[in-house]
Amino acid sequence: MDNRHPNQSPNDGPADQPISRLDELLADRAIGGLGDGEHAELARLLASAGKAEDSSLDLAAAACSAAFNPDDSSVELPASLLAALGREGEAWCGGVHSQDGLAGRIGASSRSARHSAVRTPVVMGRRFSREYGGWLAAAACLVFGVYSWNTRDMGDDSQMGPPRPAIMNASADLTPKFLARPFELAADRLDRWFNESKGPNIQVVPLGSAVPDAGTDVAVGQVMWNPEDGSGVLQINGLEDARMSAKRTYRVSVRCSKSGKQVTVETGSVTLHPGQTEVVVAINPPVMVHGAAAFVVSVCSQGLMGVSQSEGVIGIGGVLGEGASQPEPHESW
Amino acid sequence: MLAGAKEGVPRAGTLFRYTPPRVSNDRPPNPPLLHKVSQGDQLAVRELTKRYGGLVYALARRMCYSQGEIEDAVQEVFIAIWKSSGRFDASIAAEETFIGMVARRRLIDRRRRSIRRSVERPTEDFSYVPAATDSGSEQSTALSDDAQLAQRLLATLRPEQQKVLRLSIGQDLSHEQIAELLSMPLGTVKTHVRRGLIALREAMQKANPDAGGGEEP
Repeated sequence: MDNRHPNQSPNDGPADQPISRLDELLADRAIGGLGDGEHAELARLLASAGKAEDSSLDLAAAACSAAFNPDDSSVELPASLLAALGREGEAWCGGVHSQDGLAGRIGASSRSARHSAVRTPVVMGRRFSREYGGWLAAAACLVFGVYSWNTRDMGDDSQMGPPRPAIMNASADLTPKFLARPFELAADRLDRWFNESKGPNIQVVPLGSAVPDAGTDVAVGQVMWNPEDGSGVLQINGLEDARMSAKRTYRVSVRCSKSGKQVTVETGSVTLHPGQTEVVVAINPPVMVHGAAAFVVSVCSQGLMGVSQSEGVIGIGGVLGEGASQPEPHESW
Repeated sequence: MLAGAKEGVPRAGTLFRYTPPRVSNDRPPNPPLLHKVSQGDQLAVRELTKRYGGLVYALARRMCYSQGEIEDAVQEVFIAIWKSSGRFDASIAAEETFIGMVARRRLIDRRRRSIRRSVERPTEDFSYVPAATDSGSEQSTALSDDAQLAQRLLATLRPEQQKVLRLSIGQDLSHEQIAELLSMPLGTVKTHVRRGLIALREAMQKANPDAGGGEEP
């Protein structure tokens, strides 16, 4: 954080009106120049200005882009891509029209994945998918099995595991969440939460240093948690100080205030590129967490699934007002 | 048009509105599709893809670096457009501008995740080429109302702001690349981009006396 006045840009010339910090960040976002950690600052400034969102500069940039590139609209979309989009669109419409909206959308996603020959996964690259798809499927089965085993004795708030008659007949709260809501990218979720940040529902939990001897709590990031939806986003800053290397898997343990149990979520492998100092990943527990009281964030090397010997806790954060006991980083493992 | 087709009192929380400029445009206005898309109208989804596929693809080509990545990005953008179609408000922005905004946001997010720009796009590959639209509006009949207005207003900005905005938004170069290309301090580049964009927004607001605030369309 710099020491400037919040409404003063350091680059303002004497003849120019000062740019507010909010406009500065909005302009940076519109052209893709928002720096590390500035997304959270922008969200805070928007909230303090009483705005859920401000797209004025994004729209100006879009109009500007169209003005600079008048031929964009006449570019031809490759036929194969157009066909793939057509299939995706049909599936999406099928989801909208479904009697059960959420289930329909999930069904649409599944249909799209099955019937689209050209379609590539939205997040994963096409080549990556071809080369590692089999391994990933096998790994997913393994992880699911390990995860189910590790959480088999959890209380009502963290029911999960392979489908069993007890779960199939359980109440809605016990339904694994991946059956109850459509796929959402972490970036989408972050956008949505920024939009909703005016409301009281989103909890922003700063993470402190997990090393007691450090003397002071050094924030390494924050968790934005939506208690209604039971999921969150983890943002970690200053990764060069956190002894990061190229690829890491983050593990977030969420303590339920109601049951006192912890649910642990793997974020998947995160690739850090040279110079990258911030990472934003989704925290999407497969079961509903009622009243998250505390978060423990740890990191381990890629490929170390299950019990990790090199896991290191990098941050702990507690939710104010939940009154939970201190989290235990490795309880679930 | 970032324009308000609606007459009367401005709605709280709107971005800005202006009276669409009276320019000759041979292209008949396309009726908005996004509301039909939000209702799951399959024909509208198909038409939307045809109508704006090229725009999204062109943006993706500038901001991605392999064909596979471009195609992934286009699909991701369209999914985002379908999902956010219910939020479109024609009184705030033209459909094309809304789609351009969603696409740019999504592509910027992707680029931010991959951070490949500096590695895979050497600055030497780019040069500043003043476009014909700098001084005239010969191509304005092919542009949406928003883009036509932006084009006219861009001409009123300072030359250095125009130049930096063209490189930043028109060619999607990073601040660092622009600084190197123009032999300009990085801070100056950032300031020109910010001031240029803010001036553009304010000029658009002035073009409409009923200009409102600035929230999500």
